[in-house]
Amino acid sequence: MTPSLEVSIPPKCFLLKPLIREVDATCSLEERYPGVTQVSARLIYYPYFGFPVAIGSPRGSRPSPLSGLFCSEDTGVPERISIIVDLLEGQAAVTDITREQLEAFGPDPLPHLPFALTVPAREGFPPGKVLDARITMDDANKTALTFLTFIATKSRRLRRCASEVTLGAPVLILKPFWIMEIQSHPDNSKMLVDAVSGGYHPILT
Amino acid sequence: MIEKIVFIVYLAGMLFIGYYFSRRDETLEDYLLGGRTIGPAVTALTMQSTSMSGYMFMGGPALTFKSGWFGFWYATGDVGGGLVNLAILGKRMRRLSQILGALTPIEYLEKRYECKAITIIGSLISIVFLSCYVIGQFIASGKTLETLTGWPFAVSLLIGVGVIIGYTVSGGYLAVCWTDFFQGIIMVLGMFGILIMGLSRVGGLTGLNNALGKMDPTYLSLWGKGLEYNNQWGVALGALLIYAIGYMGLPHVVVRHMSMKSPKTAKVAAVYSTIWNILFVYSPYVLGLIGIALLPNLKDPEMVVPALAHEVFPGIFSALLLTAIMAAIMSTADSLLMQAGSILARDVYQRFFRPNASQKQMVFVSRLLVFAVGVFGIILAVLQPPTVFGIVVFAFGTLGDSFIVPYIAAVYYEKANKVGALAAMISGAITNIIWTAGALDRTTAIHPFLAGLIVSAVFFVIFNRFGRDPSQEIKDAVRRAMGVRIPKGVESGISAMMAPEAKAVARFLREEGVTA
Repeated sequence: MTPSLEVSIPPKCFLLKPLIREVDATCSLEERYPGVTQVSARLIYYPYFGFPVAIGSPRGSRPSPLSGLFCSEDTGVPERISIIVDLLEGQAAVTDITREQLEAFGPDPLPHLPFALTVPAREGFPPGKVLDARITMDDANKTALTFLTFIATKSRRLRRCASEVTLGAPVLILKPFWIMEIQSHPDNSKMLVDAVSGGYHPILT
Repeated sequence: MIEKIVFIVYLAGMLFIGYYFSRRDETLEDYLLGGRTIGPAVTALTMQSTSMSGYMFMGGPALTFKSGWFGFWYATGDVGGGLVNLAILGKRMRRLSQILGALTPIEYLEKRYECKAITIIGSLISIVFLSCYVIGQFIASGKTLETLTGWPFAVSLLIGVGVIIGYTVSGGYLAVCWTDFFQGIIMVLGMFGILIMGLSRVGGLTGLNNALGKMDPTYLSLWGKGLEYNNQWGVALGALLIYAIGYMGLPHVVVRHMSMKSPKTAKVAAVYSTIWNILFVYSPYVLGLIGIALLPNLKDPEMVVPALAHEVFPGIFSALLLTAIMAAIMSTADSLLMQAGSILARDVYQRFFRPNASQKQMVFVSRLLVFAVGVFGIILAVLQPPTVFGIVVFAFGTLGDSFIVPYIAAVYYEKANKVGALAAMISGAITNIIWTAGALDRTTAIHPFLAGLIVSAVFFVIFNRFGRDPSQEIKDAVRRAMGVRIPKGVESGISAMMAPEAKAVARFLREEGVTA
């Protein structure tokens, strides 16, 4: 089983809506951080390429049941997953967000969005700078294909149950994050808050 | 004969490695810091093989040969020295030196404390005592070659010094680090091999202790033969601390922090250093004790390890030991000479005499110093050779007392200023010199290193109050070097999966700060 790749240029763009508001992120950190005197927040949009992955069942045979990311829980029938590639660090990850789910956010709100742009304010979408991508589309494609080959080879279940694994055309996903500047005693620090999931991580400048 | 063949093969190998890596030096940062590209394994071994000099094969064994188990105060401190050094200074010094753009440890102090006087005094102390330290290595090389080849001391010394100098001037910092790496491996293999052989001769540690107990039970005491240092905790603590924390004050050792690939290198390097130390450090001290049992009539205690190898384990083991001793001497001497030369060229010649000096001119000045130290070392060693133990402990202690407090305060206390740092440097050095010259440890029961350290710390605390706070720029740099401290409650909820995004955003903010 060798994964294949479809490429279409330019990719469609999906802007994820921030579900965590500035006030929520600020309050949450104020509660957690001891000695905090002031918290300020600023929104950025982080670029990823999302590659939908189609997993085909062996022809002429009944599909074996799959579980987890690779199937629908109800039927055990293989369905689509996605591979996302971080366009700044070049790292790949598998995710269960499919293109259909992305479409539900509102299809193509900013078609063919160039980088180095600030997303303008509108309902539900605060303004924020889009970080410049540091890797090219070709490199992102190669990374996604390598990663898919890796998981297709490593996953015994996927190897047994899937005859074809295809990497679809990429879409550009812009995910919102809050950069929180925390002024506290004795140290000031910065924190990155995922505006979709609420997860956070310190920023070590 | 076999000693000479193995030794020549070893020398040829080291010269080749030195030549190979010297070709990569393109910029001044490459020449002085290896382009800050040194990974954890090489950092650990270059740091440890540089730290462990000919002293470990001469001074350390001589100490236990004369004083029995008392020597283990020094050994125990030494085992933890690498870990303490990397854990306390490693990350922060790496970060701050890069933020300040410093290429030598003295330039680093000058930029951190914003003071030219620090360069003048720091360079003077460094060049004088690094040179004393390297003379100890010259004497050790002469003594080793004399014992193992039978050549006269003067001839052995000339050959030893010639080899060290010829080899040092062949390459820059990267060459020194990589040759140190291989020499570190040879040192631990050679020393550990001889230790196993020695212990098997005396019936293991139990047999050794029984033999020592029969000769003189006080050999087994931690207070020295004849209970010379009975209950002198000031001496014991000084002996323990000198090598546990002393490395943080040695310019040729702390420069290893500045050349690491990244601040994270320090953590892995600390693990490698500790493993290497555990295997290596105790061995020479135990060999000194084995010498008491097997060579009780030895005239020069500093010759105990070469004599054991030559008389008790002739042939291949003797050859192995010769290369290990020369590896220890050369790995330290090259770093000392490299550092003293760099300080003279960069911090004195370029800083005060010729700001536009080319790299060629600076290398020439650096080599002049190496040559001068070599000539002076030979004259001193031939006319009146001091003991390796004496000169190394003196030079080491004075360097440590001068620089430990300023180096630690530089990265842990953002309000540390030039007045405090200068007071700490001068008072620490003077106290150690007076204490050693006047043999005050005999009357006060306080080790010269401990006395110097206490005086240096006290002077820093007092005089720092009289100086002005550093500039806001320096305070910000120190805070950045300290890294972000995350409170425990916050740390437990951090999403590890967001690490790549956090790294990328950190870079974005740094770049934004530069262009703003």
